[in-house]
Amino acid sequence: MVQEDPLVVHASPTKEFFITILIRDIKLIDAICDLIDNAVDGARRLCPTAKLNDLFIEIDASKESLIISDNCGGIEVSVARDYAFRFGRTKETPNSPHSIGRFGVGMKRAFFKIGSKIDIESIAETSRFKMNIDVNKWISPDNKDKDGREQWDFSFAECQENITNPVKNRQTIVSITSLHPTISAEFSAPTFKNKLIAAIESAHSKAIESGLRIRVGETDLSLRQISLLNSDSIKPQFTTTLYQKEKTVTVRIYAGISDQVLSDCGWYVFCNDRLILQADRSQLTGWDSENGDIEIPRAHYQFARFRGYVFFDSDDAGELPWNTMKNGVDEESSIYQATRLHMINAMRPIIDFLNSVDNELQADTSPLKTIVDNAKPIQLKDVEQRQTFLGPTASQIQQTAPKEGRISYTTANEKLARAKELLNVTSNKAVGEATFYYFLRANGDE
Amino acid sequence: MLVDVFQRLSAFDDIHNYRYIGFGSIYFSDFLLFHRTLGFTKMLSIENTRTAEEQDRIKLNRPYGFIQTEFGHSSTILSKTEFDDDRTIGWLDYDSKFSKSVIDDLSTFLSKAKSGSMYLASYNIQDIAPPQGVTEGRTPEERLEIAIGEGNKIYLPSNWRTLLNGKNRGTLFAAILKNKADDILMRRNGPLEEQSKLNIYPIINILYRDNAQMATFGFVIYSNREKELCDNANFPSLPFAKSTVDDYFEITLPNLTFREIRHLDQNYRSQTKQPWLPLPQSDADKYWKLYRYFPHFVETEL
Repeated sequence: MVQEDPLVVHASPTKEFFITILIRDIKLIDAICDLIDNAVDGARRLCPTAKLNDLFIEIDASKESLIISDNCGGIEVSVARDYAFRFGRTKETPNSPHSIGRFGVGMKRAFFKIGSKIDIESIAETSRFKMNIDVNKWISPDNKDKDGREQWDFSFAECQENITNPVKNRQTIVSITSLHPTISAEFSAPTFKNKLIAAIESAHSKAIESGLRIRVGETDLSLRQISLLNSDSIKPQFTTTLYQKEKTVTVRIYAGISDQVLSDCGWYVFCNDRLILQADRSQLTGWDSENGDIEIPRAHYQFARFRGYVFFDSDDAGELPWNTMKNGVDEESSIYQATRLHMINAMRPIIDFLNSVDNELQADTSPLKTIVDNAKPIQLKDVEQRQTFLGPTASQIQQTAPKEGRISYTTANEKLARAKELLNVTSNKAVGEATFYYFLRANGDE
Repeated sequence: MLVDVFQRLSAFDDIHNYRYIGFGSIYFSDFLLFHRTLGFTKMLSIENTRTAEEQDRIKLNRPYGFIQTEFGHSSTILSKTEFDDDRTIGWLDYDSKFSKSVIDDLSTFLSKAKSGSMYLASYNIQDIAPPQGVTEGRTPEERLEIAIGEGNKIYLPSNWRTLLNGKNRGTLFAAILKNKADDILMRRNGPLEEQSKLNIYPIINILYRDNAQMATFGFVIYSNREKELCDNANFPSLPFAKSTVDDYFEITLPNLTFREIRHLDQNYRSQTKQPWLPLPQSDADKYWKLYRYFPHFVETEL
């Protein structure tokens, strides 16, 4: 037996870490979205500038299996062999500009989260392969390499290289079976499909907008349009900041008002067009931070119209402030911390405006509400650059305010009849008007 | 004194190109002074008033048509103000006691101001009295926490409990503002390339009396790219410049007559008092420390 070096301290990973520990950090729907991310990246690689009209991703979840198939370019054998199935991303991993996949963990974590048998079939431009992973066999102590060491690698079941596959034949089919019991139960739940559809529609609205067809079961996903209210007197903020170090990151901030729906109120953060944070109303995005008399408060109903959208874009996905599950921001990220300062500045005048709208509820007239009601939704792509949110000016408010007001009160019929007699009028309305002008004349105003 | 400081900013840019932001009130005295002495024409006055009558009064008293007036809370107006094109001098002269508004306005200003800009805040340090909240029966520590807000406690210096009394409060509040400024810049600088990273250079930490004990704290903002310009401005050579928060310049004015001032001026070179001048030496020393900024007044016989 080989004597171990007593100075060696073992730090190698265990398979259990990936199979039972890492999966606890991710929700099922986020795990499925991670698998879809790979296909969306493929679609963008295939058509970096053009529309994605001829491309599709189909997701079929049942009690027995999850099958995701797409025609978004396939995975080349060389990529599968050297990078795609490694745990973690190596420095040599080819980088697709503007990609979503970044960490080299999502796909494997999703497999282990969902089931224990995974079959992958891919046809790419110059190669094709089939691979079957049996997680229980892979994790078995008997799974050793030829030197008797723990076997980490997977094997292709079929593999062909140096061939040419036309675009129309290229595809990837991922099939996960032997689902974990909780996952199988979840897939059978009547609400699951709707939750999955909502999550994918939000996460990949930009890809859907570009023409990518995503289908869950029999349902084609639809585009969730993002819009903000706009008029002559209300205009959203739209600013672009470019951070250039070794890599360039573009940050676009849109902030304004929209429909009065509290559940939709808050900040939305996208990295390379992938939604990672939705309707956030926490300190993470600057809410509930004290700020003198004008606080950026906890989100109350009066702020339900607030919407903010932040888009971080870079050719190098590693520069962007997402967490590995792509369901939240890395708040320690320097680029996010700098952007958060801008988000707070963007929010402040809008909160101030919405407070003013709310204060009108106690007033007799509501010109601000009229101004908001008259504003029209405008899609983000049509919003013009503006450093700050524009609210109505005093003169615009004055113009909107009604020129006449209504007074009403009730009184005893006996007294009303006497007033009619004294004023020599017959209607209640006439009594109201006559007594009003009588009061003004008595004060020398008429 | 502030005019002297602002003139040094010409190391960064023609001083006429600077934009000035202040709280003009109905008197606009700072706006008048800085336009006359420095030629500022880009000037913004912020007033926290919402009544049409008060707003009309402020507009009526605007000494120059180029002075822009914005009405609302300073933090809202500052966050709405575009900072991209102009180097900005912001003198936020609060007529109130130190509070979280001061800290948060600093945050807004510094999150947007470009290199070559200057931030100044003046506030009452007579005591610690938060604008809102019940303070009766509370200890100074508790009042401070209410005044600056829970979220700003992280900006307290480690020795804050020893700085709750008298003029020490000047040091305490300057330290809070300095710590907040460092935090904002750390966040703002993170994604910037080295030459664009910003720094602050504290210059002003002045204590004075204006009915109550007051303090003014201020610093210049400069990027690594413009460090040489900041060095060229030679701020440390200003006789009242203070670059650390625990060192302040105190303005104490001796009571002097015109005749006494004339005699002292004549001996400026040696800065020794004429032996026959019946004045304490300490008054003469106080005068020479500030003689260029000594208030002008006229004696009259009725």
